[in-house]
Amino acid sequence: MVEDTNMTDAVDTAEPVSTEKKEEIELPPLEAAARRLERLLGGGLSDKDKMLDFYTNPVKVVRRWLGTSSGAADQATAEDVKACAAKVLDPSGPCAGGYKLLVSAQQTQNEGSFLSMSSCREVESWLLSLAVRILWKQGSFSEALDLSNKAVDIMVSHMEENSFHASTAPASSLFPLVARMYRLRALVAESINDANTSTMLRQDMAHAYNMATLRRDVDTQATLLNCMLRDLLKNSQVEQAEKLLSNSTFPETASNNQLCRYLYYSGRIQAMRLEYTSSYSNLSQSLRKAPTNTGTGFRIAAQRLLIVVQLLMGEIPERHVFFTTGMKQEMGPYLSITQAVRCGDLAVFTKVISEQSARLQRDGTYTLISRLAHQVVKAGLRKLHMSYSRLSLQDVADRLGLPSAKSAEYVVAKAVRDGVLDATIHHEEGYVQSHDLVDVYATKEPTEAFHRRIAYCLTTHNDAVKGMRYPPDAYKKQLEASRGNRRKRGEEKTDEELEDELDDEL
Amino acid sequence: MSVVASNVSAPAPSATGWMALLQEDDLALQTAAVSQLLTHVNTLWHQIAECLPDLESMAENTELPMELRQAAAAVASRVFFHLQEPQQALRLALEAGPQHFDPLEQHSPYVQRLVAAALDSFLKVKQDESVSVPKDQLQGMVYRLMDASCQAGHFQHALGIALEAQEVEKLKEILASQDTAFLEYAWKTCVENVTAKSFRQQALQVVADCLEKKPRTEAAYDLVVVYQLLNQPKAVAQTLVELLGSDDKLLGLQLCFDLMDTGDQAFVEAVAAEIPQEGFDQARKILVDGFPGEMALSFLHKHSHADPLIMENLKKALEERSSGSRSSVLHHAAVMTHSYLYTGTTNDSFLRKHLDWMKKASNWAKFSATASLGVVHSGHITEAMHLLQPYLPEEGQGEVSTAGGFAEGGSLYALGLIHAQPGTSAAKRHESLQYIRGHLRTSHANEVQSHGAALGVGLTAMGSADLVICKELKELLDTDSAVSGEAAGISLGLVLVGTGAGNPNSKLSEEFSELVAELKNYARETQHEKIIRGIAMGLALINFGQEENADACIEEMRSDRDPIMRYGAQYALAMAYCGTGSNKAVRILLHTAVSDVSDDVRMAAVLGLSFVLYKTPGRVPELVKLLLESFNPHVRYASCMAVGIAMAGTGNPESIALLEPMLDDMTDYVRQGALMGTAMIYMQCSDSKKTRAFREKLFSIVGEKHQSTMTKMGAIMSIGIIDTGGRNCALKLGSRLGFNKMTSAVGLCLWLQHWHWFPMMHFWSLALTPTYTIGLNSNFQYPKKFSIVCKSKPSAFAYPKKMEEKKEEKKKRVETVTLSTTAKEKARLARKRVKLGIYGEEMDVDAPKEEEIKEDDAKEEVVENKAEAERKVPQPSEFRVSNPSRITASQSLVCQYDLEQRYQPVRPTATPMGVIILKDTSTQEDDELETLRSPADEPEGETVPPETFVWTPPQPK
Repeated sequence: MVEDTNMTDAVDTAEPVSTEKKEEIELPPLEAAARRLERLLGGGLSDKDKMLDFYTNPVKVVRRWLGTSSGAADQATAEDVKACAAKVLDPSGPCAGGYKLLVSAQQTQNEGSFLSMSSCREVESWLLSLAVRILWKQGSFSEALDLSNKAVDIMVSHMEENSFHASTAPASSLFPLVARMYRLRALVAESINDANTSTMLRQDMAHAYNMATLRRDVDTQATLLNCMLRDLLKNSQVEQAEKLLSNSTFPETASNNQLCRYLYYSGRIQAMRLEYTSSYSNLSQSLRKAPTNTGTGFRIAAQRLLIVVQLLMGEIPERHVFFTTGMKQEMGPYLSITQAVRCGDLAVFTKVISEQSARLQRDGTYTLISRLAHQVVKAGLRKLHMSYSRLSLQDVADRLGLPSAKSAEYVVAKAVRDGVLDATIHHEEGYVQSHDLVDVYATKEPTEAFHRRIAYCLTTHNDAVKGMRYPPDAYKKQLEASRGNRRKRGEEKTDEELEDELDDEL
Repeated sequence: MSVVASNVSAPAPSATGWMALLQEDDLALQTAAVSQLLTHVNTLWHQIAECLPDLESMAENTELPMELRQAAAAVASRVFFHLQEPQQALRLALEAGPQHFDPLEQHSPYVQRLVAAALDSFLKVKQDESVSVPKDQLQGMVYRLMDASCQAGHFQHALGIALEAQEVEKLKEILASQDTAFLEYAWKTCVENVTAKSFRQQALQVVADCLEKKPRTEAAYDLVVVYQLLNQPKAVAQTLVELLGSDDKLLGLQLCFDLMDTGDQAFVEAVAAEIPQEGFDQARKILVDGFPGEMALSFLHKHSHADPLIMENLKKALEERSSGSRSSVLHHAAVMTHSYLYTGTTNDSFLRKHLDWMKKASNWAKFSATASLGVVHSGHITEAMHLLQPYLPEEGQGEVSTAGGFAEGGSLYALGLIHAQPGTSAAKRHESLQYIRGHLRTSHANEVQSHGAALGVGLTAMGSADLVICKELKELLDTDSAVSGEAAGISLGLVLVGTGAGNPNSKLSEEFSELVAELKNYARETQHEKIIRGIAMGLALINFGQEENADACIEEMRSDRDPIMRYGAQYALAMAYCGTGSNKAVRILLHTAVSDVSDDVRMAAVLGLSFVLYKTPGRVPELVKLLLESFNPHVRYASCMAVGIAMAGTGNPESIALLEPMLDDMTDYVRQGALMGTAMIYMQCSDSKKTRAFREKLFSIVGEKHQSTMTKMGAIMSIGIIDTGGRNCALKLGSRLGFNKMTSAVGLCLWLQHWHWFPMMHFWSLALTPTYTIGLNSNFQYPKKFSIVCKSKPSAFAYPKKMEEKKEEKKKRVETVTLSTTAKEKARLARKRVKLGIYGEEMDVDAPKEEEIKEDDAKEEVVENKAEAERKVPQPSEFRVSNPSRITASQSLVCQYDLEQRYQPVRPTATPMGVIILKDTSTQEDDELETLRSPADEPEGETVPPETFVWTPPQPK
């Protein structure tokens, strides 16, 4: 599926990697990244800006590091990974498992350059995930799955050895990496598309999700929830997916990318379940939160689903959404569908659908679009209604391409009931009589519209406020300034005090 | 939908079918459905969540067979577990019975989570909170858990549960079969983790009962400590007597010294009273005859590293016209600084040298100056009367004049200060007490003298809870004189310190409760704020260590309309919960610190934090960090002091960094607090760039023209604080064994009152603890052959260098007129010398100092010329500390006993600090033994070299 383009990596390449010192550029990029992590995690206190590290927790450090090192990760080849692993992992240390998997045994290593205990597990996990991704991209799925299974086992054992009790916090710096590995494995398994693997994986994911929740491992929890939803959706288990959705809570502090995915999946599920309004809000929020310059695949998927949902709601999407850079090609069929719906021309609509059916099925929107036929009729009806105050049902049938006057009557009746039309059907005479236009401004409609818009603005504002970050202790400067020039005041005081002191003579 | 379904890999399992079967009437179908659901609940819980009501009603349906009901409950319980509702899950799991939920199966996260939930709810049940689970089931389960832990050998686990759940019976069961090591662990856990005092006492009693059954030698140490915690002097004495009579006499002596270390005179005397008069001379010598006091005094005197130049320079700086030489406040502060510098060293040569300077003090300053002798000589009981003779009021004079009496009052106060030092002879103390009491009775007419006498009585009778003395003090209070009334209030507190008089659970007689009630009434009626403050502080002292027993009293004081009473309430809270780290106390203090309308109350609340949290000092800077930025200067002042008190003697760089900006605060007394706080943190720290810079800053503030008096006073006092007691004293609120050091806490609490009343500054001597480490053999001699290994560079814990006499030279130089040409020539030569790398003597002197400069300075050091580095002699990585010497708290962490040497400590596991009784492993005569000598026998100051003489070889016969 296109929507799963790797958002994280793509986004983070935009971040500057230039924080490196010059001397480290000589190192291979992977190793340089590994050494940097070691400094961040272990040597954090001796660093210059130690106060900064003092305040951040390891999860955040690793997350940020993953972002900055994705450039190195993107270009890495299998050979690079192997070389790096041979260099930094100690075959007799805690990472022996990872070393064995990544490096063939005969390679010699120079001692002393291995990573310290503080970061070797993280780097091991990172290298393993890189190896899995490379295999996956090469198309050697079964090897990738095998490796990822072993990698997950290694990581889980790392986490368990650090915690006697499931609910106590283990090495939390592993969380983002474990999450990443679970996602990769799910993707690999999806590519393999094998019944046994999927069943096994499903159980494993359920267990891992449970453990992550108990460990308060937000990254893994969010990632696995998304993976499980994706798996269920792929198998068309919409009902089950909905149950999972309603019975679980998505962690608030999860990363933005996971939140985007989650919103997309929930939007999709709700669209299937005819809950268009909530689906619409979820999807538009997901699009809004998605990265703007990368992750095109995801945005396309979300956008076309959003268009369909909007159409189902009886709204016509803005024209510019079809012409966003990079999406024009993909949006073509949807543009024609939208046009058909807008015109209310059932014939054009059916034509477009039959032409594009394969494409729509691939996009996973076919089911929803087939629901649209009704909307087309409605739109046509509305148009007719605006033009004629009185129209025979036979004419309606002709105009809309309906088989008979009888069916036209049903359609009109439904439209009246839905509030699309304000009209009366005269059955004996066989015509529809529209009522006079009422003043919309006398109804509650404008208030509601305003309310919708204001609510939207408020949520956006609140989200923006929540999204803001302040550097620690930034307020102190202001405080100092407000307290400042105490010298001046001090001088003023001392004169008085000197007088006092003179009075206070011994 | 059907199109998408075409590429389905594996049909995702669904529980819908089984869930539908639940609705069937057929029992077999239902059973099958439930059992299927049970196997798949871990993956399909989100679906099964839909039929939770059905499952629950099935579990409760009595018509169904038991197995089915239990299985349904098990399914529902697991669903709740996945839904993150452990309480519900637990309720159903208990219904499901043991075959579905076995609390002992430790590896499943489900069970672990539910067990945690069960313990949580059990604790809630214990505290009479309502929970959704029936109590008896819960209790059964928790008991089973404890039994299982015991069977599996996880006794710590079981102990933890029993203590948390406050189960005395279970505790007995668990501890009955344990060895001494575990019992030691048990009492330590009780002390650290049990918050309710009443239950802690019960638990400790259980531990003590178990220890009683152990062989005496093995359990004696723990037994004594536990009985001490239980405040049972009789039992302590019994154990000690048994021990002293056996082969383990040395251990007994060690325990006697440790007992002294807590500074609770009244308790020690009660123990001594139970020890038979004959045959236990050595123990009596320690407990009541003042041997520890003499030893401390002798150490402080002999090993004093007080720098005489500090005082000289300070005096000189104050005498300069610009620096406010005429301010009596600064003069007074300087006199106090002198006494801080020489606390307990008995070295008053500076005063004797500059009697004229001293005599500048008049009125209350005179009182204070006289009393400061008591600080310098604190613990010097043998000479006390002799020293103070010139100042003491004349005997048998009859009526006391109403005016004057400052020296007389001060000397009585000094007498009290000298005898209040812990470890001094009880007999001597009682003698002085009687003497001061005599003056107390006769001096009512003169409030200065009665002020001194009242404080003296309070100090000498500290903790004795003597009703007659209380009555006498109350009489003084009833004269309704502000000055003497305040002293009487405080002294009543001192006499009753830590007794909890007037509290519902107090062991004292009814009369004391009446007395306390009268005091409270009096505070409400009197017009004098000073008296109210005295009574409030007295009440605070009475509640020392009372914890929840004091709650009623504290609450009453806290809700008083008078801010001074509320002020006292904060101190009462600090004293009652001293060292407990109680969350409740911290919460109240923090709340008051930001919400009370009175500045003084807020200040007291912040200061209280440092008392409550002294055992976890790192928490104080953390908590106070935001208060340091408060807009209320009183709160900022108190925060500075609180950080200083908590981190005293650590040199902690983070705390220093916190206080650094406060040194330039816009309010003068905040700067004062910051200076004193920083000085406390730097106490006993070795020389480094930072400490040197701070010391210089202190002197420069004194000389600065534009500093306000308050700041200067802070700087002057800081000079005394940083080098207090000849650099051999520390500010510690806890004893070596983890008891609260009552004298220190009381001393510090009253010292802080100098904010309102300067003569309270003298209580500093009470707050200090000498940091000596002395190894003693069985005859109380110091073997010179004993030493302790310190695994660090010698400079890391060295005394700071003494100042050099430079200033005089400079002055002379100014007088000689130099021509501009010669000056240039000189400069040129100097530059040349620098180029050549000749630095002269000064650089060599500096070299060892630079070594220990910490990491941040490391780079600069590298930059410094490399030729210098070659000349440096690398310091050894460990060295030996001779006997006796100073070992500071932070140094003790890197110190170890050398168990290879001839003399070995009786308790090798204890930290090498304080008095260490040594076992002699050899039977040979040791000629390198030293005995204790009193300061009077030692030569004054540095040993004077003998006069030159001509040596004539003895004539051969």
